[in-house]
Amino acid sequence: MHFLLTEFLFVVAFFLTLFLPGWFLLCATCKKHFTTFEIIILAVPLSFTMTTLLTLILGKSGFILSAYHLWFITLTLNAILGVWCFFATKKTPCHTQKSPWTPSQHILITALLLLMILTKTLFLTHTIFPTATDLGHHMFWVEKIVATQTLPTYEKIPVIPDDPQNAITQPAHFGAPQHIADFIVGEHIIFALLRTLSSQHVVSAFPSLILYLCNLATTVLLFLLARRLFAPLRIGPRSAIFVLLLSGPLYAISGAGAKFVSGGVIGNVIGNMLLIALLYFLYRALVERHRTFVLFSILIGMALIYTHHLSTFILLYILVATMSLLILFSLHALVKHLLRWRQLFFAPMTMLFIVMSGIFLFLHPPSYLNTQAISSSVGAPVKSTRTGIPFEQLMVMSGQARFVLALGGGIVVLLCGGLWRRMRPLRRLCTTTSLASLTPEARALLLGWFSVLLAMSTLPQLLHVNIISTRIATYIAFPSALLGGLFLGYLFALLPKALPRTLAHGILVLILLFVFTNGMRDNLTSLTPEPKTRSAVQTFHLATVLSETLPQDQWIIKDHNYITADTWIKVFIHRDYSNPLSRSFFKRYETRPHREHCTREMISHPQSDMARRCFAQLSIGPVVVNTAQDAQQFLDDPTFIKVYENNDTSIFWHYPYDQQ
Amino acid sequence: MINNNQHRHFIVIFLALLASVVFLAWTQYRQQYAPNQSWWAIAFASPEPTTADHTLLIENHTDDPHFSITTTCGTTQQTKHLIVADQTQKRFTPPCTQKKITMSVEHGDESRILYK
Repeated sequence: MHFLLTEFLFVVAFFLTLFLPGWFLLCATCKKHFTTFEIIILAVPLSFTMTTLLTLILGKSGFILSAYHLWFITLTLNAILGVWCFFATKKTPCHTQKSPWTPSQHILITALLLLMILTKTLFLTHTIFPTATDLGHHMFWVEKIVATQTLPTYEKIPVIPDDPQNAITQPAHFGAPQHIADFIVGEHIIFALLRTLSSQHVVSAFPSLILYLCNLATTVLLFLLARRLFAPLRIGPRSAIFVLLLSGPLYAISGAGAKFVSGGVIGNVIGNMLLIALLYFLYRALVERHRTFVLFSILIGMALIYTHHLSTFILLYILVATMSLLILFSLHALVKHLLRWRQLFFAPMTMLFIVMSGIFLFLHPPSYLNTQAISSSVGAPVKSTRTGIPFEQLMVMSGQARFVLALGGGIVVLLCGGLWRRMRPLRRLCTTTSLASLTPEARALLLGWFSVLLAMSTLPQLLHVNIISTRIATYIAFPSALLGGLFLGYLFALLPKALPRTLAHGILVLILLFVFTNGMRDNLTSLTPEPKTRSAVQTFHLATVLSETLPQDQWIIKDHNYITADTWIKVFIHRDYSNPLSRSFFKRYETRPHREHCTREMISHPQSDMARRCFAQLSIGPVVVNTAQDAQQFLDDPTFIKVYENNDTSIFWHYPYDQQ
Repeated sequence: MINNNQHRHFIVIFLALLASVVFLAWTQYRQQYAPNQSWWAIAFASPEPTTADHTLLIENHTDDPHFSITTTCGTTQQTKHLIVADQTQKRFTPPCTQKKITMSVEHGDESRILYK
């Protein structure tokens, strides 16, 4: 019963924060420009944008984010938008657009969506339990917002070696609170909001479920974007369905799929959703000359800036590449285009939004917007992980079949963009498939998006990108799916006309078989074995006991190598972000010799001289270790007492001689 | 415009999504709160070394409720049997006024020791 009640509250909170505001806004402003399906899906990123920005503005204005206030904000926002929607539709009754799909295509789309939900659900069954390291870090800040009822200051107390040149042999001390640039407030607001409204604890399925729903929305948004990009083409509807196939049920887990959900990569998951939603509105604004869509893009852009740095950074590159290509493709009518854009972007309302956003950004810049972070992301890459990945690795990461199709798609989009008029052999290839009817904006977006990510992943030095290449590479899945879907649609239209019927059908079946087996194999290899939930439950029990018995200023140390879900301990004990200190992965001490070594020494060699000094200088009491791996070195030491043990872990407490 | 055919598809997708969310939430809930998870834990209620409160917490998540606690306080040794049902926690305070104590808990074939 308790479970059903909390789930019911969760669904209600989800609708109030991540669905209804966006639905009402679209209904009030431009319902007739969308199909019902588009409104349902676009409502999610728009709702996220509105609730996050509103809470951010109120939080930065000193508003207390208590449960009472958050309910009030949420209900008021929904009420205002709901009333606006009601009067707007009453004044000028309008209907949503007619669905462009045939009944059989409707069935196919439904089947693909169901298959996608099934695949992702199967994967998440093993990973829904909250054990992911990143999610643990993020949920600490969510709990902090809920507990303090204010937006957090992302700071931690660092451990600094006494002598960085001899850090291996020297103890360490606590430094002054240090700013953390890795966390951005937009990643945490929606979770804090849902945590408060639904009364769900963060140590539950709800954070992963939010990410799961955002991930599903991202995939469907890509499909909707494809449908709009390919709208002028005869092969458009079919190609859009292929895009759904290549990004939905196939390659559903790896890369930016369900793996990001289970890994708790909040920024990436939400960032992907906002990025695609922004490109969707921007594309339609440019093509349909719709000013409201520009406003939506600006709003979503603001939410993106306050949610994920990497997605924002990549968006900038995508926009520059797309606009450059668009100018190149429209050279013959550049003045006309520029005048159109001027009307679009220099409208009073748009300017007001831009100025207000600029002022807010100036007054409350996101935590990562500082000289050090920018200079470390832009410039010549130095580390081996940032100098680009080989082409073959990129292919594997984005799905071989999908990537090959995308390359094919890129080539035909490029060739049918204008060259076909001058080259007779291309004429038939482009006109019979109607590919030449693609708008310049669509061509520029497809090619700009794909090529800039290709360059950023494989040749980052060309674009002065100094970011881990494998992280950038995950973004290429989206333009790959778009171009791959388009190319599949193109082949399905071209081959039956160019080749004998049987041969053409044979080739198409082979291509589909290749795509299906490759996509499904990708899904299967990404499935994880049985989760270590029993170990995680015990870690949570240990953390609960610690939280109930730990003195306020007490520092703890725990091991990160052998304890399941160890990062979640700090969610329970609510101290500084650095508390408990952590013995990191062993390789980290090798690759960064100037970092402090106390955390390794205090667990690995607690009886050493250095460890003794570390314990004294850092005032460490409890030591949390895996019993099988690390208990032995504490058992024979009279300066430690043993105060807790479960099947996997033990807590020892440092108790120096002078206090005995 | 929305026709009946579309309507049916939306309902099917919405129901599948709802079922998926509830199923995942239930899976996690079951993993966290299911009975007989085959683990048990012991802890000092006041773990700080300086306290003379030696109350022991025993939390059981197995189907065997029998625990045997042997307390060594100075030279005195005492054994006590305790029944702790699955998914419950019990407290045991040994009659020991000294600061140093060793408590050995046996459960099935396993034995664990805490000491101050």
